[in-house]
Amino acid sequence: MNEEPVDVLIIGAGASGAAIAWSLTDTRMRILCLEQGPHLHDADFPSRNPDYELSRYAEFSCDPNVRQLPQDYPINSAGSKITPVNFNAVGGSTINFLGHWPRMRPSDFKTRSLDGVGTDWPLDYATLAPFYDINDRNMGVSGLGGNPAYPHYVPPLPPIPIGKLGKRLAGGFNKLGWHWWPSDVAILSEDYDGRSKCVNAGTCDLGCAAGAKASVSFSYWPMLQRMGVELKTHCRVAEITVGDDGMASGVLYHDENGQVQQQKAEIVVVACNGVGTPRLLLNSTSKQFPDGLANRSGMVGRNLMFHPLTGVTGVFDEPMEGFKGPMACSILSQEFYETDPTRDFVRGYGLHSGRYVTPMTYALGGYGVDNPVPWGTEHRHLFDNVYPYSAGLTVVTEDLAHESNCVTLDPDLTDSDGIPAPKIHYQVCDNTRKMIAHGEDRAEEALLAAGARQILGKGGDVWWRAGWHQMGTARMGDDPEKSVVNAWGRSHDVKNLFIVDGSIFVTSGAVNPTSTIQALALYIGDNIKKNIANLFD
Amino acid sequence: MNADASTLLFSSDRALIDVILDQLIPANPDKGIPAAGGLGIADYLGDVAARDPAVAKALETLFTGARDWLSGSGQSLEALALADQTALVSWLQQTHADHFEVLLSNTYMGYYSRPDTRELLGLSALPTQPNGYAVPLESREEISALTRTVRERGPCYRSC
Ligand SMILES: Cc1cc2nc3c(=O)[nH]c(=O)nc-3n(C[C@H](O)[C@H](O)[C@H](O)COP(=O)(O)OP(=O)(O)OC[C@H]3O[C@@H](n4cnc5c(N)ncnc54)[C@H](O)[C@@H]3O)c2cc1C
Ligand code: SF4
Repeated sequence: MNEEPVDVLIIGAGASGAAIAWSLTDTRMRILCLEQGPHLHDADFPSRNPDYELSRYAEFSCDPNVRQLPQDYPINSAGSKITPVNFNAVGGSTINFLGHWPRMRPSDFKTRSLDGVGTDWPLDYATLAPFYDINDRNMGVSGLGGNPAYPHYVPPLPPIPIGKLGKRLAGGFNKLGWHWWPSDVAILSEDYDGRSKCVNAGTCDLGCAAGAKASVSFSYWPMLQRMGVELKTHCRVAEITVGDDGMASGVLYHDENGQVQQQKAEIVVVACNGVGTPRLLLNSTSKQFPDGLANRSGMVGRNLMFHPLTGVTGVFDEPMEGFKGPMACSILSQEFYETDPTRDFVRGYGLHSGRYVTPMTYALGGYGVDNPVPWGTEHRHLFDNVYPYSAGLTVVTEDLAHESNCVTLDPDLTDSDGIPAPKIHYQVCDNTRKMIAHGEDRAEEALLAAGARQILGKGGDVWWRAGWHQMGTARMGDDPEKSVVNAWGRSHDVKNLFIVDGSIFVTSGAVNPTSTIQALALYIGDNIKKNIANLFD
Repeated sequence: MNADASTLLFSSDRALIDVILDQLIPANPDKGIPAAGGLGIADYLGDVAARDPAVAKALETLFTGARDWLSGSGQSLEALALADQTALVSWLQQTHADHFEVLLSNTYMGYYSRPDTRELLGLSALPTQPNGYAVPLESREEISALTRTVRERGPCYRSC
């Protein structure tokens, strides 16, 4: 069946796909979004079930290799140091993301000029700033204005509580004279836009059935559907097709019944996240693009960046009640974010104070770790004397781009439609290892200053199931030989193909990426509108 | 092992399994926290084993090993001292490391996913939503006082 052509076809209904759809709605173009997953409703979220924690290790795991749902694609990350995690549904990975919402900092866009490392972005913080603001309003972002780590901005909603644990750690940072600030969060501190405020349930990774956390299924998609954006679920795009003119002509996709369908489009936008996007491009081969679509530079799939991280725990003398409140978001220190020539590494990291995990996840080793705590008397000791009194700091490092860290296609593994699955090749570099070691020492210092009586968890490896942030695999740049898309997300090789997710990042920063991903998607949408008369020149 | 065989194993070896589970997660009588065997986690394991052949296989191997260890020790289960119970579980861990990890993680899952256990640890027995937890919001004055030293240092980003 050949569908009527649409003006804009967006592949992926997650954070970036939703944001660019919103930006383009005022063009009156016909916009269709194809999403491989379902549209979940609040009753589908496990946080309403008595044994909610079990779903974290089953159908609501962040790891597609654990979930193995029909809409998931397997990822071969054997031999890699970190495995990518995601969620495949309307809302994408914002269904189970944690809503921590820092922006990238001005220096993140200029690491080559400032620090002689990486590559400068073809745009800067000031260009993105207005789009961060628009997106914060659309998502419903809470936070405290005036953070000295950034040029001035004020989040639209007041901050959520930092809680007992946050206050305790803030005291430690203050003693040391280090930077910290209440975290910006894509979580509502007040009822907003028909959504209810956060009730501090603490299981944000299991989807927020209250809609307080801005999964785009609760923030953008209701608006988009009112505005007439069409959304088709259970449609997995296998390939982007090209015409003889070298332009994208549309896609071939598998519908709910596994039948192959064709959809033609004037403009194709790829928004499949940093692993799904290179996978789709590499699967889209043709006479013109034998090595994958938009891949004349050879950069599709290369420069994969995560944020390698590890955690240090402090044990305090009073219960820290870490299970109360949004999981990842209390306070954030960016004291060690920038390059300091006296250190043995370049760039830096953040110290993130998440709250603490629920008991089952603690027993199984923590979030993102598979290493059950000991059994027997040691087990009893941990649950009686350690778990309730714990507060942790996570060292979240900037990842440098290396071409050898990459996404390729697995020669054997496929998804349930028979489409080749991605294979991850990722190692942690020396710079990162030094950063982690430095960060662990600083985390220990901060926890001790906050009154911790015991420090645990130092010297561990980077967390395995922590490829939450996937960036760099179709990087932007001015040079078509070294980048996949231009400064506003348009493929150098295919003039009606745009990429809007974290694949286009040039550097990773040391902050969670989604506020920047969406600001970029809005910026790209804006440029499409500005250049509409000669979009394909 | 099929579902019936798994049910049979869990009923015939129940006392032995409970001893092992009590070792994995011991009780804290002072806080009224039960051990895993006493709480009936064997039932949970039986359910998982009935659904998942890999778990069934791991548990069957372990419990067969435990039975053999017991008969080799020449003691009855009832007479087994606490130190010997610990020795048995340590032996299982050493000799069947992979299967033991399956037992351990499933025991933790069965035990800590229960509303009654959560409540004993200070969490709500209810699902986390819709009620969540009450967390007082810091006042503007409190946050302002807490962030004062940070604000006083002034901007700390590189403008470029
Ligand atoms: C557990 C977890 C915690 C996280 N916490 C945070 C956080 O606190 N802060 C933060 O900033 N970020 C966080 N992230 C990352 C954040 O979720 C992502 O950065 C963000 O969702 C990426 O947006 P995206 O649009 O690129 O991809 P996604 O939101 O993942 O959306 C991509 C969509 O594309 C669909 N898709 C992929 N391939 C195809 C195809 N071939 N055909 C059709 N559809 C397809 C997928 O099903 C998916 O719905 C977290 C992620 C996870 C998994
Ligand atoms: S803590 Fe808040 S944001 Fe997170 S799941 Fe609960 S209500 Fe939602």
